[in-house]
Amino acid sequence: MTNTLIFFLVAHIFLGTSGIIFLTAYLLSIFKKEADFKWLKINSFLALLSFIASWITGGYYYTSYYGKSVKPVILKGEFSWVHSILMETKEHVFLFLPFLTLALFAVTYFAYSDFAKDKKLALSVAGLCFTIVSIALAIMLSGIVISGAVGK
Amino acid sequence: MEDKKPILSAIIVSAILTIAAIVFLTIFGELNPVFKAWLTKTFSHHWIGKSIISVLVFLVSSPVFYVLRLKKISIPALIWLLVAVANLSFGILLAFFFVETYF
Repeated sequence: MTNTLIFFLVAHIFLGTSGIIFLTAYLLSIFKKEADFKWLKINSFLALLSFIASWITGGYYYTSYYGKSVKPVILKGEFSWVHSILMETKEHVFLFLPFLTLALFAVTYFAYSDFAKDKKLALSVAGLCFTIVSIALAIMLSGIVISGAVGK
Repeated sequence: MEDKKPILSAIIVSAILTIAAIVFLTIFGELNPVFKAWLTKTFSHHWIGKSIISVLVFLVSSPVFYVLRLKKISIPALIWLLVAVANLSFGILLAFFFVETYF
């Protein structure tokens, strides 16, 4: 694997994890008695940028290296289901994240002033944020299992 | 928020439509090798094709839903619908690839 591919793979993992951290911070602060709306906006925007950048870097690694060099090794091994179930699901579910995070950012940007007085809105936004974090964590765990299945 | 409701509704409904489109493209691509081959030939990789088409679906549907002015459904209801569609779509794809692998 070339240094460029290693850089893209590491960047993909780092950016995806950063997105999870930004949204976890968002989730923890939305229920504060005096939520800092400036940070809600910043965290959701940074999470959006992280997932978009992770999409591009991971996409480069996946389309130029994984299919040719990693996938055949996993499929020949004992845990071929890791590719055919986990990787196939992960690579497509990942595409949800930028759109879900864009919706979260848009609601935060345009309606943050209503969060304090409209509890239904705040709860639904928290539900959306929790869903994004859960899906992103599932994708991250799948990535760990996929890495572990190489050469087994 | 009332003045921002049309743009928020448009973005949320477009996100719902885009996720549904990703699920459709994925499952249809697996069941129809000709379609998957077309994606690969046109976009150099089927995953790049799905990525580009999903962005296009979002970019085209957002202005359409904005013009339609979806004011009847509340923003919290639309957000919960988006949450439900995202979770359901995750489950559908996982179940599909499980069935495709073992059955």
